[in-house]
Parts: sequence; structure tokens; C-alpha cells
Amino acid sequence: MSNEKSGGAGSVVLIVVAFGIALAVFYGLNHFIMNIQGLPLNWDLTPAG
Amino acid sequence: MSFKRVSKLGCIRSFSAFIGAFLLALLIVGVTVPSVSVAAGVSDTLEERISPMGRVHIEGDDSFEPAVKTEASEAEEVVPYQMKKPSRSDYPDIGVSSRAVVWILAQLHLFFGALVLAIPLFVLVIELVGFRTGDERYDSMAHEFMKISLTGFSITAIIGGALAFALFTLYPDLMAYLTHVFGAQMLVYASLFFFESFFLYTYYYGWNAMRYGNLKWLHLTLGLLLNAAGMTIMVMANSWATFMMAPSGVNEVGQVVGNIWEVMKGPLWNPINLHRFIANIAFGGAVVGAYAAFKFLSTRDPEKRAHYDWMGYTSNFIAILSFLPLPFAGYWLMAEIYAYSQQMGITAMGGILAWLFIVQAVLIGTILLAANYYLWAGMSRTEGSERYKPLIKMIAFVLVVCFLIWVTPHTLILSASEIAALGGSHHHLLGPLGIMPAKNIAVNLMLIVTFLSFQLYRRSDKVATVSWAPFGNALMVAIYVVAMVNVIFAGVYYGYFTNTVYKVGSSVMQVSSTLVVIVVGITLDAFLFKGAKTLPSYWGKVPDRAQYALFALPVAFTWLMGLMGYVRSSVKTHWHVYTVMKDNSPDNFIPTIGYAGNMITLVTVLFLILVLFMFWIANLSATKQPKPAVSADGGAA
Amino acid sequence: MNKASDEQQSTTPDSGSNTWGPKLFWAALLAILTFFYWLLIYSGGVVVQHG
Repeated sequence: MSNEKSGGAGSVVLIVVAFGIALAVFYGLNHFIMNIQGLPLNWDLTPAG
Repeated sequence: MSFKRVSKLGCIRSFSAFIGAFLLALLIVGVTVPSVSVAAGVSDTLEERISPMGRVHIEGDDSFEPAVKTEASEAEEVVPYQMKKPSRSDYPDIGVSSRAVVWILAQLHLFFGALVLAIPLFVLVIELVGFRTGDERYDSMAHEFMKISLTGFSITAIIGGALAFALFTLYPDLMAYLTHVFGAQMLVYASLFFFESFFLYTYYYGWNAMRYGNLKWLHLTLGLLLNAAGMTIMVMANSWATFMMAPSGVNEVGQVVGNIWEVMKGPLWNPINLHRFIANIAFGGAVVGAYAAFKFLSTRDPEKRAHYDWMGYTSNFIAILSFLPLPFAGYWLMAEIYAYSQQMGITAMGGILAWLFIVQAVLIGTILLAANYYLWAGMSRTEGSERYKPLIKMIAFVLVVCFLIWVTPHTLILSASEIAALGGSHHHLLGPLGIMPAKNIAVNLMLIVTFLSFQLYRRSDKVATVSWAPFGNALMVAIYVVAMVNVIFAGVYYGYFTNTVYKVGSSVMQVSSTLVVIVVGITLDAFLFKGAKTLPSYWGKVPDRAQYALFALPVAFTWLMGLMGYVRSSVKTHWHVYTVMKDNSPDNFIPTIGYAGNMITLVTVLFLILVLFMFWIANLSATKQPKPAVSADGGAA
Repeated sequence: MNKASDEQQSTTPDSGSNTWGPKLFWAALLAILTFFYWLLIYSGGVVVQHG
């Protein structure tokens, strides 16, 4: 939501990095939240056990 | 005329800390309340089968056993208290439905109680913001909020007294039992009114006398103590309501077997405390917002319009920011109801009262649409909002689609031929939208995009100047997108393709995703807009129709409160005190939805009339009749 | 009451005894938070048992 136009390749890198961070945050959040409830998940987020 | 825009950051930070504090409280309470699973024995008797699963006792006290009447115990010197089980003839008949009388008084009392607890809360925060920033406008707005609410305290007390009279007169055996169980705690509750009145009058009437320096700190302390007294009053009264729903500290025949803490600290007490605390703030903000909207529309003076426009915005801000965590507090309450008694939980959301939650969806959808609309209309105050206009359509689309999903019912009221035509009792495509996973997706998405409306509004008069702004914005976009995908994924996958336990657990994942968006959004903006270039914006430059959104909010909030209050009260079905004291009155049945709707509408209209009276009195105190001119011959005109 | 222009927020450290205001406020806040912790959160041994 920035007014400025960033350089093409640079903005792609920014968005990729940003999405990478966001995905990591929510992936970790999913595991954490389900674990503290005693509901472990596999790496692919399917219920474990 | 434009006012210089004061940085909202201080206001935002204070309020964020405020919200964060009770979200933290939620976390603390959620973690410290132990959920000890107890292997329930299979019982054959009817009493035990419908008995609640949960019990409260002193930790380590293995001697806890329900007192059973035997010949030995009857021969004891001390006769145990016998709870009276009222029969039909024990209920006084006053010619009209006793339940209707108590319903109206209790609901009105709750409306006004909520209002007079909420207003001092955000008044104190606004006063603190004004004190920190040195901006006089905050202080005078806080003072004005207190002025318009002052009569509300009396109205609350008057209706509360009438409620007490009605309860003791119309339900003497229930009240005799409750006063026996709670005893001196009720006297503590009554004594708190002395403290509350003292702090209220010194806080309000001493406003200008304690305006600066140390005296201002004293004034803030009085405000703090006023809030403390009010909150204590609320939680004490909450314990009576939660005791009736989920009794603790008593045995099956009503004998008190625990101390007052066991009686008070039942499984529903803290969930209701938290839910009502947050809801009060949202409700109070909505009501004063209507006041500001009315004052805005009734003046042509640009300076006054700017003032009331700002007041309306602040009220809406308070209402919606505190509304965001409210569904989660309500969810906690419902989860505790289910944990206490599956029977009661299913009555609420899977049985006879289930349709009321569709009505609730309609009301919350109304609230969110009105609040968002107000924010979008408010973006016309600044030209910097033009860049966000395309996003508004997307937000509106998400809100409407989610609203439609939320109001989709599961079980339909169908005749036999309709069931045959449909091929079952549920619609094969829309039926799955009627169960909780779909609702959780809808509500979380609606809250996320509502926060987005907030964030866009706040950003619309700023241009970030920090060097890392492009990355910050990219990160914010990513957080929003991934959060929404996560909410949908959690709801769809765990909701429809895994077992029940994971389905319920995934709702916490969804809530956390929403909270991450809110926390990251507030924090990121605080840093991103440090030293930002400010674009001109004008308080008062907002279309009149935006004020009608501020009228819609308290009406919807009030009706919603009345509806949920009805659900909370009737979820114990034909019991006064669930599984302990049966309701044998002529009204011991759940009324039709139509009847309940009419009652709720009646109390809502009564409340709005009394609120108008409250505002009118506030304006009356500032009105001075001009002295009549003296005529030429010396007589008065 | 007249606005005393020289009586602004006296929270500077060298005001000595003139900072009773903030001390009172923070002490009251602490007391209130402790009170509510005791009232609402401290279980005092009371345990809620879920079936």
C-alpha cells in the first residue's frame, strides 16, 4: 500500500521475502497453537498420530 | 475550519496497551483455570444423567461427597438447611407474566449497568491521553462523556431497585435460596454502591477543581477507583447469574457444601466477567457515538461539527476496537458451558436456541457493515484516502459474502413434503455452511477486513518516509493474505476433513491468526509512520449519511445484548438453579422466537427512550432561559 | 478555579515532595490490579473440575 513505485526486480524480491516471512510465521503459529492444546501436527499440518 | 491533526499514535498506543492488557488477562485466565479431566462414571439414574459434569471443590479435599439424607444424618442435632422446592402455588400471581416483568427490568438494568461501567473506563483512558499529549480537546471530550452519562447511574440504580423488588416479590423461594447461599456477599455488593457514588461525584464534580499537576493525578486516581468499584459490583452480580446456570459449592439438594469462593468461582464466572467487560466498552462506545452523531447533525456551526465529528470517530473507534476481541470471549464462554454440561451447550447452539445464533449473525453483520461504512465515509476527510478506494470494494465484498455464510442455517424448518423435495433435512450444498467451521471462517475474515478498514483509515492522512517503507508495506500485505488463507485453510481442512477434536482446536488457530494481524498491524504502523509526512484532513468534512451509521450501531448492539441475554438466561431451561431448583412457575417454558423477539424489541425501545432522556437532561443542565425583558411601564413582559 | 500557568505537570525528579500525584496514581493502580488478581484469578485452592 505504498505510494511509491519500486523497481521491478527489487519489488518482486521484497514481496517474495515478505511472503516467506509471513508463511513461516503462520506455519509456526499453527504448530504452536495446536501443540499447546495437545493436538500435535505432522509437518504437512495433518493431525499427528 | 480544520483542526491541526494531533498524532493518533499516542491514543492508539494507549488503547492498544489497554486491549493488550485484557487479552493478556484472557491468556492468563485461560492458562490458569485448570481443565482437569475426570473419568465420569456411567450413571443410571435420571438425576445423574442430566446432572452437570463439572464440580467445584477445594483442591486436596478428598472428603468431598454429596450429603445424602440418611437416618443417621436426620438424627443429628443440627438440621441441615432444606432448600424449598417451590410448587406452582408458591409463585405469587400478579395478573401478568412474572417472567415478563423481571425480563424487562433485568434487561434494562443490564443495559444501563453496562453503559455506566463502560463510560468511566474509556473516559479515564481519554483523560490519560489528554494528560499525556497536553491536548485540551481530549480532556474536554472526556468531561463531556461523563456529563452525558451522569443520569445513567441513577437510572441504573432505580431499575436495579425495581428489579430487586420484583425478584423478591415474584420469586420468593428462589431469592430466599440465593440469599441463603450468597449471604453476606450480597451485602458487600450493596456497600460497594456507597464507594461508587463517592468516587463518581468527586470524579465528575471535581473535574475542574483538580485540573493540573498533582491534583490532576488525584483526579485520575479517583477515576481509577470509580472503575474499580464498578467492576467489582459487576463481577459480584455476575456470580449470581453464573451460579444459576452452573451451580458450584452446593450439592444436588441445594445444601451449601463449600465456602463463598467455591460458590462464586464457578466455571462460567470468569468467562462472563471477561465477555461483559469487553462488551460493555463496545456498547458504551456505540451509545455515546449516537450522541455525537445527533449533535453533529443538529448544528451548522463548522467548529461544532468538527468537534462532534471527532467525538463520533473516537466513539466508533472505541466501539469497534473493543468489539474485535469480543467474539473470542463469547466463544470461551460457550466452550466453558459445553465443558460444564454438554446438555446445556447443545440446548444453546445445537437445539432449541440454535436459531437465535442465526439472528445474532444478522446483528453482528449489521454492526460490522455499519462500522466499516462509517470508516469508509470518514475517509473523505482527507485526500490521501483516494489510493485506498479500490480496496474498499474488496473489503465490502468479503464482508457481504462472509455475512451470507454466517446467516446460513444448518437445520431448516421444513414440512414433510419439503424434506422430500430437498432430499433430506439439510441442503446438500448450503448445509455445510451452517456449521461452526464455516461460521468461524466467516467471523475471523470479517474481523480481519474490519481491522483493515481501520488501518487504511489511519494511514490515509500519512505518507511514510522511513527507508524501509516498501518492505514494511510488503510485509503487511503478506501478513493479511497469509492470515486469511490460514483462517480458510484451518476452517475447511480441520473443520470438514479431520476429527471433532482437531476441528474444535483449529478455531484457536484461526483466532490467533486474526490476533497476529491486529498486533502486527498496530506495531508495524507505529514504526512505519514515525516522522511521516502528514496530509491535510478536516474534521467535520464527512457526509451526513455517515452519522446514520452511528445511529444504527447502538440499536444493533442493544438488540444483540438483549438477544444474548435471553439465550444466557433460558439456556438453563426449566430450572431456576440448574439441576438444583426447578422452575415450577407458570412461565417455566421457553417462549417462541417471535415472543422473545417482541420482548427484546420492547426493552430496546424502552432503553433508547431512556437514553434520549439521559442526553436531554445533560443538555438541559447547560440551558439558560433568558431573562424576560422588562416593559416600559415597569411591569415584567 | 483559575488556571495557574506555572502549575504544570510536576513530574520532574527534582520536584521533591511535589510528586505525590503520580505516586498516588501508580500505587492505586497497583493496588487495584492486585485486588482484581486476588478476586478473579487467584483460585485459593478452588478447582474447577470438568467432566
